[in-house]
Amino acid sequence: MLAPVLVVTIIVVPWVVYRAYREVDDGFVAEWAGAHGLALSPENRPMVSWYLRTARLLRTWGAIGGLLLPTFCALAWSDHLEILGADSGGGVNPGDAMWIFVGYLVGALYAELALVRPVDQARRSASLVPRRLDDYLARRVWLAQRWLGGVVALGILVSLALPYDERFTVPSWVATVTFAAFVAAFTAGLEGVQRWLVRRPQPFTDPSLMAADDAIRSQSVHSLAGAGVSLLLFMGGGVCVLLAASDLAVLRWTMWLPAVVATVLALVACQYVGHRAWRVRRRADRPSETASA
Amino acid sequence: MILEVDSRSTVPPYEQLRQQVSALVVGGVLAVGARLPSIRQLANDLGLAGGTVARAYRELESDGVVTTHGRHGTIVAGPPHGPSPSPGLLAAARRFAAEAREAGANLDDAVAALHVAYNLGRI
Repeated sequence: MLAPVLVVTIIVVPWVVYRAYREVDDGFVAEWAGAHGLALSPENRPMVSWYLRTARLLRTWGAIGGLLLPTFCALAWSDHLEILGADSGGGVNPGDAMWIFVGYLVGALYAELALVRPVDQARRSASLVPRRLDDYLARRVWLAQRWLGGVVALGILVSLALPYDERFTVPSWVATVTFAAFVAAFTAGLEGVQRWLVRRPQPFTDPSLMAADDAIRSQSVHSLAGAGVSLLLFMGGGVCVLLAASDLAVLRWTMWLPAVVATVLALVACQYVGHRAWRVRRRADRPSETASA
Repeated sequence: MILEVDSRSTVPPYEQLRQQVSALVVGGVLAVGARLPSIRQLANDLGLAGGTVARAYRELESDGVVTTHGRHGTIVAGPPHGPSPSPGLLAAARRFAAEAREAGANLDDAVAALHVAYNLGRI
C-alpha cells in the first residue's frame, strides 16, 4: 500500500507547489474580483493581488505541512515511513488525511492575519455599517458547520453504547468522550474564529479599499468554512465506519454508504465551499431589513 | 457613512461620535430604522475602549436619536430632541463645512471661524 501512495505523493506534491507559485496576473485578479462583485481600482488592486498570492501559497504549504506532519511524527517515534496513513510496517491509518485539512485551515487563517491594514493612529475611522457573519458567509454554510459538528459528536457518543466484536479494538470511553468533546469544541471554535475575522478592525475610509477588504474577509471566512466542513465530513465518515463495525446488523449494512459519501464530500467540500464566489451583503444596502429589525 | 475620531481634538471621543451620528441622522444620511454597528465592532474599528462607544450610544439614546433593542442591536429612532436646523440653514452649513474640510481645517478650527464670522456679521 505504501509504494503507490508514495509515488502519487511524489508526483502530486511538486505539481501542487508549482500551481501555488503560478503568477497572480491581472486576468486572475480581475476574474476573482468580478466573481466577488468587487470593482478594482488602482487603490485596491495591489492589496487584492497580494492577498490572492499569499493566501494561495499559505494554504498550499499548510496543506503540505499537514500531509507531512504524520510522516515526521512516525519517523521520529516509530522509525516507520508513513504517508497518508500507509505505513511501511503494513498498517493503515486513513485518519492521517485529516491533517491536510487542518494545515489548509491554518494556512488560510494565517493569510488573513498576515494582511496588514494600515491604521492612522491619530485619526481613526470606521464604517457605520454593521458587519455580521451572515453577510460574509451563506447562513446555510455556517448552520451546516454546526449541524455537522453536532452529528459527528453525537455519533461518537452513540458508539459507546453499541456492542462490538471482541476482535475489534474499541477505544476507551475516556478517549471516546474526549474526542466527542474535541469535535464539539472544534465546531464552536471554527465559528468563533469566523465571527472574530468578521469583527476585525476595518480602518479604511476609501470605499474601494473597504469593498476589497470585505471581499478578502469573505474569501478568508469561506476558506476556513471549506476546510472546516471537509474536516467534519472526514471525521463523520470515520464515525460511520466505527458504527458500521458494531455488532448491530442494521448499522453494519447501512453505515458504509454514508461513510463513503461523507469521505467523497470531504474531498470536494474544501474546494466547493472554500472557493465559492460570494458578494458581501452589507445591511445598509438593504433598508427594508434594517427598518424591520 | 464613515465615522472619524481625531485623538488630537479637544472634544472627547464619545462626544465626537455622538455629534457625528446625530449629524448623519439630522442630515438624512442615516435613515430611521437603520441598524448601527455593535459597540464591540465600532470600538475595535476606532481603536477605542468599549465603554467610550457605549457612552456615546447612551448619550444618543437619551437624546432620542437611537433605541437599544437588546441583542437586535442599536436602531436609529429619529433626529435628536429639541430644535433642528432648518433645511436651508443645514445646506448652508454643509457648504461651509465642505469648504473648511477642503482648506484642511478641523472641526475646532471651523467652529472658531464660524464664531468670528457670525460676530462680524453683527457689527
